[in-house]
Amino acid sequence: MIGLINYGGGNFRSVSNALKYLNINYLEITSYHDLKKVNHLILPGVGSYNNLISRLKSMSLFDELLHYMSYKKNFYLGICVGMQILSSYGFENGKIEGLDLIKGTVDKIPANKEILPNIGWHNIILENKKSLLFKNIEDHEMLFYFVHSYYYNLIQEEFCSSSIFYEKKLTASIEKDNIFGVQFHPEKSQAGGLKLLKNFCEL
Amino acid sequence: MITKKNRLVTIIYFKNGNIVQSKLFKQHKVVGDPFTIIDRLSAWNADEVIYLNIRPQLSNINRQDKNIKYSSNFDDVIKFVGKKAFMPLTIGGGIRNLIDVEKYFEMGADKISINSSIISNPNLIYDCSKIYGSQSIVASIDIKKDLNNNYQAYTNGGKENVPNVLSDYIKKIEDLGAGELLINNIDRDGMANGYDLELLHLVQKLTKLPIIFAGGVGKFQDFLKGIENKLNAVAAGNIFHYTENSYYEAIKYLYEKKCNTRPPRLNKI
Repeated sequence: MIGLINYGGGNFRSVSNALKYLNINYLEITSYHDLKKVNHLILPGVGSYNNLISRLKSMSLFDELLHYMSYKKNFYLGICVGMQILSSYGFENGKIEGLDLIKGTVDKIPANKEILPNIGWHNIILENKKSLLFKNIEDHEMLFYFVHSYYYNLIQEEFCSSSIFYEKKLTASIEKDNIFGVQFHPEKSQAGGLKLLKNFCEL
Repeated sequence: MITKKNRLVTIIYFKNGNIVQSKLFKQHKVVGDPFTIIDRLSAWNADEVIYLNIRPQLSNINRQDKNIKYSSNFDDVIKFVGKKAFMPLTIGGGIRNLIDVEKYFEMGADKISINSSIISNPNLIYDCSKIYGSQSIVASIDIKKDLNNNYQAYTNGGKENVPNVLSDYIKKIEDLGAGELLINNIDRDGMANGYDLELLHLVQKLTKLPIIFAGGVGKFQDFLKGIENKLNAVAAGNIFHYTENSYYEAIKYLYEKKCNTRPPRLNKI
């Protein structure tokens, strides 16, 4: 079963609309009890790193997510901030501890010439050609919608599955065994994005 | 290497149950149905859609004279649109408080456009940026030249001028935490005489925020001019209602002119 976390004030609705369009059944997760019922989990994030971490903690989901991913090895897809919280620390509104599942920090994009937030479509560069998340996505569909000012600064490049260039190379998606994350918004990226969500749900 | 694409943004003007073309913010011509437009934009693979209720005070009147199966209430339209918009969707018009904001996010909006409430409820942008993040708040500014030939910002559909000079107003909006500016030139609205590049250059000087610029597009070359002037998000409303596949044709034109847009694509509805 696919689970979709609704922590209030995310883009839960956009992702749920996309899953409905794809005829994928999902369970809306509002409490840690429900995590036991799913083996695929999507966390659509919007807003700030610290806000998401504190919401997850107040719902007792923080520790449960660690258990879900590192002990039970179930599939996880974090979108935007939902990906960023996989890091060791985030530096949005102070230093905040993350789930620390894929080593790295979430830092402000070091842009001098370019405008922040980075809003718009990017042609992503596939770094991991074997990534199952991007299976059957045609070259002309490798365009995804980004909205962010912070990026995942990975310690081990091998976990970067795709990237963009915005003054410097930035992580667009990450992948480590059962754990996936995308900085962009697949639910808002039309054909390529819908295929990516479908790919995840079919893992 | 550049991975980022320029955006062609379409603005939909909703007024009392209809989609309208607008001229100088005063005259409005009905051009279509508020529901079917979103199917067309999906078919055209639009980069981004901004759906604005330009006369929110009229929106709760359910029109009896229209022979349609749906309600023409703006919120009902957005509920429908939110389910079908697999592209970035901004909603605006009549948003006064956090309850309105939450309502549209819940319906599937990605961004909220705030205009008159910048003056009437200045904390709204600040509160939204803390809760939802700056990137989800678009500050919409309608501008025209005053009698002294200075650019002046207006609210309430171009009816009331804001007390601040434009530079102070934009500074205030940045400080409140908006993530993007939607600039519309009232004098060019519906005139099809091209973007006001003087205004564009002024706003580019005044802000570091991403700018969505509208007002005056009458032909595809006008978008090109915007992009040549370092505008990442070229926007228009009226032009997309003249011909059947106008959005597709516009992005095809820009793509062929090497404007670094997404490639044109038509989907079946």
